[in-house]
Amino acid sequence: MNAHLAEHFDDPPQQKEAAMLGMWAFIATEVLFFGVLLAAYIVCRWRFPAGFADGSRHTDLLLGSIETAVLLASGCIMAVGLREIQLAKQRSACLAIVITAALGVAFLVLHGMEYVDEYHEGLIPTVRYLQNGTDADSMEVFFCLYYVITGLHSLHVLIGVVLLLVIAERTRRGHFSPHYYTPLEIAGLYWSLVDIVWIFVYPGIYLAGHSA
Amino acid sequence: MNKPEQGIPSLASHLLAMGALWLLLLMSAATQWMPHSGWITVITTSIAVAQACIVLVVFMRLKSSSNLLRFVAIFSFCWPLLLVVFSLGDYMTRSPLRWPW
Repeated sequence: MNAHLAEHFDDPPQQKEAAMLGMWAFIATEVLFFGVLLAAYIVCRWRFPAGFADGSRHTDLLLGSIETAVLLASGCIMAVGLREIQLAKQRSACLAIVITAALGVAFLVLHGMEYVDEYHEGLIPTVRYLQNGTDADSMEVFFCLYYVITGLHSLHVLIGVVLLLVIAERTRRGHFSPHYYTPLEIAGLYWSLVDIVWIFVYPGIYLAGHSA
Repeated sequence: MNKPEQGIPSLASHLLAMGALWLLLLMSAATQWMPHSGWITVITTSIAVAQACIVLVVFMRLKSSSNLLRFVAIFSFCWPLLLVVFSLGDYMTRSPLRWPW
């Protein structure tokens, strides 16, 4: 009897298929969750184009691009970690997962720096909003959506970092092998989801108003 | 339990995917030097879709997944698309309402 096989499954491949399907169903709910926010952003941008372009010009494009590069690299390193465990290289897999988590923390720190700059510029609606002019009200709508979308995304990154650290510890203790690595694969899927959400947030938030 | 040595992607494919993602990111960021027009949104959104496809196929391993998982993955990303298309369809065809005062 396999130690990892739950009694209600016939065999390990069936158990793995069920776990992956469950994770993809969860990803579908998360895609809908962020999809609604992005739809709200698109509709409001259609309604207030000038205010959204002004709001986007107040964001830090360089920092946003670096954050995107960091997150894309972390997704690749996580996928390499999964590959390493499949090749029975527990130590390098553990290292790859820890590096992924560290890049996740780097992303959060960089984004925190952006929030601090925006606080000093007076760009946080209801907390410290010091903008004036004809488009100040519609720019406030932009920043409301900006903080909801990026805040919820950062929360997902934070959850992902904790999840990766737990998985790294389990990998270090030898819980995973080329015969059983489903939790690691599921954590990798979650991290890729976080990547994909940001891939769509980046052009919407940072590139909407920076063109010449 | 997983079968060892089955469907393990090469390290080169991962590095190639990361290189492509960074290149697309640079292309996306480079649109800031283009003259302002509606095409920039189309270009940056198309680049984002290409990046998401790379992540889905290479990092999330949809290429080697079962047909059922591919089906769920494709539909999970199609629902928000429908949401955006129908919402924008409504807003783009609606007559502007006058303020009541």
